[in-house]
Amino acid sequence: MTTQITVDVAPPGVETPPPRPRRSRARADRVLLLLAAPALLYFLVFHYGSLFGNALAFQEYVPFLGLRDSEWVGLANFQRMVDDPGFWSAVGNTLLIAVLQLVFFFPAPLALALLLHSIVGDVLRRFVQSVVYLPHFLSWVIVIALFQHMLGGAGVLNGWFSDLGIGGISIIGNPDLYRPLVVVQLIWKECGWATIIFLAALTQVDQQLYEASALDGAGWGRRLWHVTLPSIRAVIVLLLVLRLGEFLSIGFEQFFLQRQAVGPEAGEVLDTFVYFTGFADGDFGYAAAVGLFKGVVGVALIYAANKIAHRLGEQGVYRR
Amino acid sequence: MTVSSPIKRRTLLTLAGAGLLSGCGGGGGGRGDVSNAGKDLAPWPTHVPFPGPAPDAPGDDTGVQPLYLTYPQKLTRSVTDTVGDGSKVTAMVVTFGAPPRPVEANQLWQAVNKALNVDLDLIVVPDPEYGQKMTTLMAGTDDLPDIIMFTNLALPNALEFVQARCADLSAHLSGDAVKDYPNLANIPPYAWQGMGRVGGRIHGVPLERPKPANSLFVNRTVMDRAGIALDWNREQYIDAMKQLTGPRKWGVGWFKTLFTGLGGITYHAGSLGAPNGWAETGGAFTSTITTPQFTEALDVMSRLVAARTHFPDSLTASSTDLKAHFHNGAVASMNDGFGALNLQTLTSIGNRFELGLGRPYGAEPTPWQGPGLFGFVAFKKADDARIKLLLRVVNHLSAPFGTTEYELANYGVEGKHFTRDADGVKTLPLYDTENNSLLPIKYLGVAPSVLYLPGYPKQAQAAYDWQRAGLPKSVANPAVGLRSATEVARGAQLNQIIGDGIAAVVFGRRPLSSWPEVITQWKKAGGDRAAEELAKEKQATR
Repeated sequence: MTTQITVDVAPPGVETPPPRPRRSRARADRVLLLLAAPALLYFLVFHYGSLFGNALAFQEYVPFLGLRDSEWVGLANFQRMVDDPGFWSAVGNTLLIAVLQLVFFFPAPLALALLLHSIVGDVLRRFVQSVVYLPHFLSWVIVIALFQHMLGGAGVLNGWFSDLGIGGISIIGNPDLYRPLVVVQLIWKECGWATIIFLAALTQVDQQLYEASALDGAGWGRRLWHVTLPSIRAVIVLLLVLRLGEFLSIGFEQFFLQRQAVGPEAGEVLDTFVYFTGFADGDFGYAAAVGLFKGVVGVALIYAANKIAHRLGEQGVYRR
Repeated sequence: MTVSSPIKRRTLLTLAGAGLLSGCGGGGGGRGDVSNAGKDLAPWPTHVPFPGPAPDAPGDDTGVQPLYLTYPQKLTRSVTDTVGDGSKVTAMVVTFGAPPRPVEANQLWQAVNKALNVDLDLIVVPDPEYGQKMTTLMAGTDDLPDIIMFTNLALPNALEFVQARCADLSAHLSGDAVKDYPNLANIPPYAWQGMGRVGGRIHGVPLERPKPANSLFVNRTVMDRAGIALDWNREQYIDAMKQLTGPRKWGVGWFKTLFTGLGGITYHAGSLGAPNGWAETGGAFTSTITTPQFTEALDVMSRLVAARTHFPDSLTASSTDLKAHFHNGAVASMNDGFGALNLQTLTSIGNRFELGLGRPYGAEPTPWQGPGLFGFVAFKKADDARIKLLLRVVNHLSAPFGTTEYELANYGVEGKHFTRDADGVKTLPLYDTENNSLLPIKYLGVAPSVLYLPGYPKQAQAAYDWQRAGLPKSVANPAVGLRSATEVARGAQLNQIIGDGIAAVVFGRRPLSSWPEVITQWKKAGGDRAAEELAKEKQATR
């Protein structure tokens, strides 16, 4: 493509030629545009299109009457949200669990990836990888049933205790242990799968750096600290920013399935709250308001996290 | 179109409904429209009981069911003219089992099609997805099936939907008009009243159920062995539960969905004399949750938990799981709907133990009655001839015990699905894969139920005695059949508050003394408004 070359080799100081008319640019890039079209359509229909649904948040929405004929109530739903202790309790639970997930779940796959990476035997590593990936493909229903059967009051563990004549311990359905439990479940299920990106990043680390640092007498710990982690810092920060953007999306099924066992005081999170108000109670307007609140917080968080990433000299999810 | 007066939302919908509607009696706008207050009420269908075979022990007005220890020798026919015209009839119906075999390979389905002279096309919706599917159906603008079945599950906007898009059956069923459909005329008045009118009109045909509400099922064999008497008082009951608890054995069995409303506490509240759902005095409605008896019931339940007599995974177990534990003897009692007293349950228990029902333990019990129906069927709007055909289909499927139509709907085809011997009906292996649960025609129309458990006369007799002992003292929920816009719109949430609150107190997450907080929460969420609306509605229907 000659046009591009002329632009690229334009000597410094010479003014860049005026931008070519749009149509010819489109013609030049038509293959790329065509390739992007399906994705663009997807985003238009399923993401931008459904954004209009947020109008529900400002209505007393009745599915029967539809968006057009439902009553507009202004900010009443948001007012109700602010006054609703149930909502704030859901926010509190969500934040707590999100923080626990961030502190315990986020580093877990990194640690596991480092461990996997250090396994020398190829066959062994692939085997271990496959094993740790597997739980990702189980649905939450099964994972929770498994935990139930192992740790439940009538489960295997308590069965042993009862055989030994020791009183049972209450793990499932114990609100005090609920938050650690859900984080453990998440780690069990998703940790292996989450290692994939870290493993890919680890293969990019320059091997010579290891050699050099080993020659300088750096032990395992120092090599990790001064070579491995700095080399994959960009990836860690990227994942962290993405995670923060979804900070309040801690999952739905897992919490929906276990909410009743511990009651709403400990078990209600924003997503289940939206489900129960929207779908169970048919209170769509209010549910949409809560959903919108969650979305806005997510946008703010991703923006802030990106800002911080830029401060740290990283790219984040988009460039400045 | 020029409209001189401002259009109300409901009227607008009416107009938008593709000319389907012929006006809703000039009702007001918004959600209150389904209420009966201030409407002309269509009279209930005249009750013409079917003179069936003589029972071994009679039923009575309190809701005791006629008892049949053996199967009638001679069956009568209740439908003599042709039902259908060979056309296709679509029906959306709930199922609690696996999907039915396709009609080509399903001898029961073929036989039913032949008897009804229609091509019955069933859209079976598995129970867990039922609410969601119905919400979608009702919110959508798609063509509706001919017959739509509604369970008692409180679905937001269900009544508005019925009123707007389903046929008004008043002209066909109200008063003596129902006599054209003798099997529908045989449905007892409490089932019609339990269904209630919508905006003063009759919009469905109820699926009758016997009176007892959620009941306590017991393993009579282990109780007899432990010397536990049929009648017990509060302390004896709690002691009995303690006595039946041991290593991997539990006295009390609850399951998760009992705590989505009043299901879990029904037996205890009824035992201790709490009103059924609501108490109505002098036209004012007070919720049972505000009564001291209800608090006592909570206390009994939390004592059962404190003594660790309950199945420890009660809040996470599904009803299916808990039934398995009950049927194999690990759990000695369980709360379940009275409908669980059926052949499937007895077959599942086999000869492991004798199934019984627990009597109320309080000094002045008020056992709760159910609403008297499982749900109802409504029809898509159509011309009169089509509606009459659909009513004949439902009439056929509602044929009472002792008729050939009942036999087909309940046991299938003789020689294929069942045989007859000295005991009565004996099901054949084909019945296990082709029956009215798997092909859920019993949710399109059903006979008023009788106590007949083929092969288990002893259990039937025990259930009869239990009904005789409890039902005369039983009370109905005064709100059944009355419309409260708030209960329709917020019912699920109100029930959730109660269920969550009961679970929190019973399982020791909150002290019993905090119950008033739950009451306050419930009142604020719409409980108070519901009470007012019910009072207004009561006055209108009086």
